[in-house]
Amino acid sequence: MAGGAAIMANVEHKISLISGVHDLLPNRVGGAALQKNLEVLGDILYTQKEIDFALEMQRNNGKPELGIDGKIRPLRETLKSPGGGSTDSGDVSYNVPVVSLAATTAPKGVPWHSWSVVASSGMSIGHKGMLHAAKALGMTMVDIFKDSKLREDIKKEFDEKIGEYEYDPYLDPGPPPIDYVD
Amino acid sequence: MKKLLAILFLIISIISVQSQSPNKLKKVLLNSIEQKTDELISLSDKIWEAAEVAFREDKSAEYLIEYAEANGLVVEKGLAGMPTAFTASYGEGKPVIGIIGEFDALPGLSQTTDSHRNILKEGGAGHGCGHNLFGTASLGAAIAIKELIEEGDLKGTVKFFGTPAEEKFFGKLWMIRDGVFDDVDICMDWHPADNTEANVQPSLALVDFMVEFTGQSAHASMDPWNARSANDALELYTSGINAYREHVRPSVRMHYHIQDAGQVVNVVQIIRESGFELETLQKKDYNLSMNRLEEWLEVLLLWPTLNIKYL
Repeated sequence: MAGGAAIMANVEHKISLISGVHDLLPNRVGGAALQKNLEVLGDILYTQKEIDFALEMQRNNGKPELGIDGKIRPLRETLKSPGGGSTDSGDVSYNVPVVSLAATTAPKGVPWHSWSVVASSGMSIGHKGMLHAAKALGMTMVDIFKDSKLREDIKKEFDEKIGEYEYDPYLDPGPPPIDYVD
Repeated sequence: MKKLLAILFLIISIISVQSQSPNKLKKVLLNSIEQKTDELISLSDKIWEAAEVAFREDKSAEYLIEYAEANGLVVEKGLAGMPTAFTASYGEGKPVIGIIGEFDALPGLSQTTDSHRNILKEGGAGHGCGHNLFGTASLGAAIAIKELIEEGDLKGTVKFFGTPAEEKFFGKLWMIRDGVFDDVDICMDWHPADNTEANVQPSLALVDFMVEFTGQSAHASMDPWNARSANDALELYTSGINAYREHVRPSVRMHYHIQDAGQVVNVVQIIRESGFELETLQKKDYNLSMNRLEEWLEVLLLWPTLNIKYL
């Protein structure tokens, strides 16, 4: 397409790959183990001050005033088309089984990659989510270390999902561009 | 007698490793993390204040490394050609259980901890994806697991992966390429969010690429017939992209931004650069979309051939 545009405008063009990532391969066996530990830990609880902060932030973003969602709900079905977002953890998940958690660190529905997330990541709402995450991850690691059957089942799901797929990263053969210019 | 005692001691240690129930160990673990609450908050706040962007996370990585070493983890730094990529591990043998920690910030998002927009440092970066919490929580969990291994309650190796540049460039790709994840059996991961759940949803595959058009400059009015406008090419190209949007699956996302938009209107622009992103459900879907782009206008050869200059 770029070539077509270049021909039409009678100019030269160059396409360079920067990088790319794989989708995250979910692991339901690992997810179920995490879920049990989340249920033991229970909901993240907030003070009235934190809730007021969240409501104020939602008002300032023109978003519904939903407060903070620290509730633990049943494990969801894995959706075929869950929405947006990408991560290079996706590539890790094509190499080893990845057991993944989301933890509440910001008010419900505030724009991600925005000042709102910066603000909440530097105060108690963010801190609470961080500590909850550390606990849930740590507890699940205890299960994984102790239970060889769990490890095998996580691995089995991974192997089945990977199938014959051969991992091939979107990478130029050279070194990482650590000295890039903005 | 000494030998007998040694065997007896060995048997007792084996029994004690196996007899500690997971629930009991989890209590010890929770207690350990509780005790470190202030340290973990202070660590995450330090990374939040540093707010360093991709591959420039020198202080942030150093803060995490210092804390890992202070807690007895063994650190390997400067991995895969990236000064800020590191691992912090403890224990020996299998299983090797990994845990991922990110710590890079986003440019231009500097902000105080107020509930309204309030810039902390003009033009500065900010943790708009919560990676200050990400790296800290994961390291906290790894340290608590290390203590259980040290006590002989767990057997194997825990390995924290300090992974730079998640927001731009995707540092993990080079770590994977250079074998940093090779010995890991299972890897834990998490992400700050606006809800809490065991995440069993896929994320999208993505490719970032840059298109550069080079034309011929001339005065825009005196001799425009001698000019070849890179701007024209860019407009044609983005028109093509935007037309193509209609014919892809709803899961596909296409984004672009124009890096060099030119300075003046009375010079026909020579170079227009534009960054593009294509996101889709799985890498194989992405390949389909890219193949379609190639077929459609016959030219787009993006992968694996790079840096081709078409004349």
